[in-house]
Amino acid sequence: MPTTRDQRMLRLVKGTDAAAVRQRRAIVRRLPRVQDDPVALLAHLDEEPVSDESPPKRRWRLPLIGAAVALALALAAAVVSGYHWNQDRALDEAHQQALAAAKQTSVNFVSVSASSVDRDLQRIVAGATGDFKDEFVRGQAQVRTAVVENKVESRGTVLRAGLVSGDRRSAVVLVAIDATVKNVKAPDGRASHYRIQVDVTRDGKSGAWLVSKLQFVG
Amino acid sequence: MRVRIVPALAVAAVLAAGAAVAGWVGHHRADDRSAAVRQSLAAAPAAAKAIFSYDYRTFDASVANGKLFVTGTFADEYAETTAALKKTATSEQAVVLAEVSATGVVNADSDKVELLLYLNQYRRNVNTSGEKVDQNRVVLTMVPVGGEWKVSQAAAI
Repeated sequence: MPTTRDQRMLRLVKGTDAAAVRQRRAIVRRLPRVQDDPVALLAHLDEEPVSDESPPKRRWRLPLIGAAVALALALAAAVVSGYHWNQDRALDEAHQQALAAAKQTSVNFVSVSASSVDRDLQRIVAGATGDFKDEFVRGQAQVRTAVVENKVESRGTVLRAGLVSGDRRSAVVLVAIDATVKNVKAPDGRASHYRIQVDVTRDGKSGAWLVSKLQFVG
Repeated sequence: MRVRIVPALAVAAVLAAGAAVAGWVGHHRADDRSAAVRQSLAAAPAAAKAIFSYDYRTFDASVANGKLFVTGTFADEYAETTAALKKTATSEQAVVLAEVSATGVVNADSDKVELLLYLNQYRRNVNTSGEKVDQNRVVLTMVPVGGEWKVSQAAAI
């Protein structure tokens, strides 16, 4: 039989009941720092400061520096190669847009019909700029009259287009076009084979590629 | 919390390195492609001139010269076509001089470039008086063979 004292000890250890045990929690209290003897400290002033925390610090500092350096190098490399890649991509995109604009305006240029003459001519003007636009607009009324009088029906198709040269703002493009041209002299249509070369320029404001020169290559 | 920075940095470094490699590969490829364009553009006019010109007086020499610029199945095609042409060329005393007036790039890969050429053929023979000019549009496919760009396909369009 345990004595009353034993029972009290037991209760202290086990708690009175389960709920009481759950409520019990550990509290960590900071112990006041043990002050070093100032004289002893002064005696060690010329030595490297040694603290308890330094060994774990060293453990993560080296990998941290390594990872940071690796990241910095990789980022620098990514920025450089990303810049080049972006330049290439932009140039490629410019070439594609220059080709597309050259094809469209060239095919528009040889696709004019009496039945839709105003729309057809307007479409050419919309794709033009600079000298080509000025010249075309100047001769537009005359072209319109000729198209209507001769009952011209012309439809062109692009066979192939090739980039002669080009940067991000301008390009020279060859456009090989076949067209069927009907008029009063040839009501059944006559096949025409064109060799066109156009200069295209990127418009600074709209970003659209426009034809600034169009010529038939001899 | 502090210790997790290292793996995070390492992952970021690996990702950035991956991006750098991808960018470098892409740039390298673009460089290869523009070199292919430069070289094929430089080689095309002489090749087209050689392939599309002939002179009945020096027919075999013309063909031998043309053969230097062709490769693959097109080399066989060229040999067959010129062999078939020799008789007519001789009887008609045909002289054909080809000149390239413009060249553009239709498609380009590092190992294959498709070009559009505006090619004039100035023809003389016994049946025609004076010179006749054919204004052709020719698509040439060029491939590198031992460092030189040669014609692997040619078609008038």
